[in-house]
Amino acid sequence: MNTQFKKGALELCVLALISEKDRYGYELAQDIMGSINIAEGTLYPLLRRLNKEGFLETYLAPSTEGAARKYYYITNHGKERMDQLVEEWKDFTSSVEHLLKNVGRE
Amino acid sequence: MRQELFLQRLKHALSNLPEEEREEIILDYKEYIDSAVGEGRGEEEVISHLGKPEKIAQEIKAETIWDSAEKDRSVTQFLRALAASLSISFFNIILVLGPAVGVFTLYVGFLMGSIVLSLSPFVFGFSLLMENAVFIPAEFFLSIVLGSLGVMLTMGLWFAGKKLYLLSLIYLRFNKKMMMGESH
Repeated sequence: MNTQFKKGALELCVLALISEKDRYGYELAQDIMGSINIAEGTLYPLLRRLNKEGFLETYLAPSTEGAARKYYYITNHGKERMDQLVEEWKDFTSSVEHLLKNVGRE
Repeated sequence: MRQELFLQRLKHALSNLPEEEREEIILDYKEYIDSAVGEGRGEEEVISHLGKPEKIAQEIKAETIWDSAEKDRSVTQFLRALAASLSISFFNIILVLGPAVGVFTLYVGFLMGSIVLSLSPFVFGFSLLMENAVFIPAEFFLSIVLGSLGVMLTMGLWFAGKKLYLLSLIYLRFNKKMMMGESH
């Protein structure tokens, strides 16, 4: 799949997963990779950007392995962003489905 | 590759980021690897899935450098963004460096020209004093007109420069997308 396209979708997935519950980096990567194949290393640059843009905030909490983990939670600003992305996603997928139906591929 | 080596290479590749930010990024990746290992995955395997540290650094730097170039506008920030862009691909020497040098030279040329123009009344006054020349009203008025024209041009170019800065950043971003889009 086209990488730019995937990246846009990845932002939506990250926001959606974190809005469901607070998550730490590795957990998030695992949950995403359950459905979409991404390069694991690219998740943190995205998280940093979403954090800088004020969509996500972080806090530290101890883990069972001892070292503290950085958890991400969604801000109100982030929720608005997510809603907007969900809308765009729905519009986009329904347009594609419509097109596929018209050309008789579905 | 072992964790220490991975983190060391990442740190090295991020060397021109602020210390604080770099440490934070290193901690993020350390936490990631530790969590994965804690769940029973092999260190080497996790690290190979993360990808090359230099590649990760490139992505992070591209994001942060462009951000700071937009927030605090300065020649240094711009040169950093330019350098980051050149490091993405060899072709960028042609696609980015060429136009950048061309546009920059043109801009500086115009700026110099308009500054010199702004100085024409002084040149007129100076020549009058030094050469004991006869006061010629036409020359005097001409120098005033050229001088004001120069001042206006300089001011205009100053604002145009700011626009040019932002436009160049947009181009660099676009270029980054084109170059990195399909690569991983």
